[in-house]
Amino acid sequence: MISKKVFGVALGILTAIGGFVDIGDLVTNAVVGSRFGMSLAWVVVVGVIGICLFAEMSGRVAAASGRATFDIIRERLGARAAVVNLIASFLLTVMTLIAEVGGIALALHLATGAGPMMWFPVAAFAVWLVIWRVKFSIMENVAGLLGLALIVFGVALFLLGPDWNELKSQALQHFKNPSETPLTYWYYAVALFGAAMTPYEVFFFSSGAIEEKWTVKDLGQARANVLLGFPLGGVLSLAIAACAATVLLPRSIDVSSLSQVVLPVAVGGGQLALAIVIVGVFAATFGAALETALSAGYSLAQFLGWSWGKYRRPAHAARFHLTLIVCLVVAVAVLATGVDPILVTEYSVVFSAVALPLTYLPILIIANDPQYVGEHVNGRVMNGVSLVYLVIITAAALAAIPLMVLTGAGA
Amino acid sequence: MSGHRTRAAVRRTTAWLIGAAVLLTGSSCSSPQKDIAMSAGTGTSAVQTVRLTLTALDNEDLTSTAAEVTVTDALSELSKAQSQLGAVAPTTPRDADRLAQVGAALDQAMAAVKNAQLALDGFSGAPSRREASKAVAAALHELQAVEKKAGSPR
Repeated sequence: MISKKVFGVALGILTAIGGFVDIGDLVTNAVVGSRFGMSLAWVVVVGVIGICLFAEMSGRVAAASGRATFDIIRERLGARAAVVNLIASFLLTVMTLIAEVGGIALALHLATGAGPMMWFPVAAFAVWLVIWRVKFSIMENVAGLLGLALIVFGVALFLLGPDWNELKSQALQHFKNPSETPLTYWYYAVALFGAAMTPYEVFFFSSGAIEEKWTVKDLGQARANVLLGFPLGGVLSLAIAACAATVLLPRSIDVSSLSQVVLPVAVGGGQLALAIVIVGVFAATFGAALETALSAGYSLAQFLGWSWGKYRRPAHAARFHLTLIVCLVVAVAVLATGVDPILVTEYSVVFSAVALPLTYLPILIIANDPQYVGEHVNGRVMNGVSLVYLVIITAAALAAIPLMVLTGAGA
Repeated sequence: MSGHRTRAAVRRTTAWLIGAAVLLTGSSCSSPQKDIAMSAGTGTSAVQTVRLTLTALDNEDLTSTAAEVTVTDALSELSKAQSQLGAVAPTTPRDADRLAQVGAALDQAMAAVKNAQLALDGFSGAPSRREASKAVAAALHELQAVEKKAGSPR
């Protein structure tokens, strides 16, 4: 019994590590590493603490109330406030889905050489098929565990033999790249923060709690998943940035494609490492595509009071499944226009920062309402830290668009 | 009354937002020097990527499929750099001179990277990888020299 529980906790942590990194983290960390070295490592730390807070609160709300996030947000804040939240979250989630489907196609393009255009519909169809046919727990665990292949970034970093003191000094001091300005530095700080704190992760986490029928008894495991899994996922993000800082920065290579993101791994670890990293990128983007597609369906269905969830037969949650299909079709249609998935990714992480207060604040309010969470309301320390984060999130959201305009989207 | 007030508030907010957007867009306007430097920087990044790819391939660290994808991506970046440069309207003779230098270096880089792509394809009559690597190194040297003259892109 104990070993089964330990196995469950270990599996949850490993899945959280593997599932932490998505196309946004992959691209943004590589871009930042290639342009600013490790000088923005502090943003990853701030972002990881933020997503831990955010996910812990929403998981607790779901487990204690037995109700999904958007269902409660609409009831607690009223339809008008909730609809703003819904529109922002839904559009951002669909944008992220487009980026993830694009990421799957780029990983397959890198593995096979066949153009990404032919992989867009294949990727979207595969995502739909898995959502339709595969059990929630299997889907989540397999994608998360395969995503652990991204640990190869860490292995490659050791094999590259970087100057650790140089990386450390970049991380601890304000690194100055003469070809960058303070505005681009702060633009990428916001983008990296948005990449670490994407709202869809929280909707998926809290709706998953309902799918897996969590109760307050499961809160310990949920906290272990979040508080151990996400920080270790953050270490993976830092490894991606460090690989780029070691190989690409000294050569003035700015990352603009997925092939450049994985190039340092090949340089450090050879063809085997390259094969592993492609598997990892495929798993990370595929897992995130499953999560974003489901999150789009969850948010709309929960707000409109439709029957939802994979634990129901598709015929009993028809509108939920139809939403997923429409979102996937939209993703393929957008990608078929020839838009660069990496560019979509870069914009999605910035808009993620813009939309964060709209999703963070309602969760914070509900996590303090005993009517929904009973005795499991936020403690003083939790509220103190959460309020500090509310200030950080609001500042990032307000700065995101002006920084985007002023820097020409970090150009 | 309340509807009128709301409409007035919406109008004021919209005007403020448009004003702010115009101000921000205006302040982010690019200059010919900046655009020329940016094109040179993008070109250097693409050619450096190709050089690293060819080295990794020689060391058997990279599969030929991944190398071909990487070089194709770099070609697309170079093409973007050329388009970006094509849109620059120089305002001084000095800018015009720099534009011509960066344009020539980008053309040389484009030819070298296309050569590398042919070498990777391995068709009969294609240049050898060694020749392609040499051409890429020469193009990189030229680009770095004009990038230095063009100054910092950001």
